[in-house]
Amino acid sequence: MDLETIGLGIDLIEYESFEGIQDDVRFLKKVFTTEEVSYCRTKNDPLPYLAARFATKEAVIKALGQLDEDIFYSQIEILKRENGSIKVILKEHPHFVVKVSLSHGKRSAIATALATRA
Amino acid sequence: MEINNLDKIQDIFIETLKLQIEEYTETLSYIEYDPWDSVTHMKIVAKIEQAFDIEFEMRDIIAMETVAKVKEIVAKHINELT
Repeated sequence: MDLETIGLGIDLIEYESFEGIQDDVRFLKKVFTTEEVSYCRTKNDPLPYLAARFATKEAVIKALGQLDEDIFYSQIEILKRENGSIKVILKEHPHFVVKVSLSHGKRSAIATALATRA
Repeated sequence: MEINNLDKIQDIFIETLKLQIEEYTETLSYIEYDPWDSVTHMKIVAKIEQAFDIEFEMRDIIAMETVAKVKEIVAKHINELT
């Protein structure tokens, strides 16, 4: 395995920093896709789910950054498969593959991402 | 840039980062000032867009690493509108 071809990212978001964001339409539009917001709003408290997706996008940005690739929040879509696993869609970067793992607790969410060229 | 526009930017930074007035400087930096993290950065971006009725491109948002740079980018957008 050539480690030079792999990017690794991690991020942690405290929910406290996300308070009020679920009502900030402009923030939501710049950072999340319509599908992501719709999914999070199916939850009683969308905040931990939005925070987890933000952490995941940050982890993906960091992982791709290690491969000298710039990407922005809105170009990354975090979707949940029926089996509960997370799928990442890179809307304008089809030549990269990213795997992520995320978890959220009572006060924060954490995510890791592993990126490589397709 | 007009003084009231500079005041708008100052107010957004002070409110979002909970700064004391003396902490608000041209050199205040995303990289060096820990409370200016990725979430706060996007909050600042959204508030500035709202205040000036403008929309930044990805490269602008990434380039906003200091207060001085934010002012420069906002000025560019305002001038484009006039």
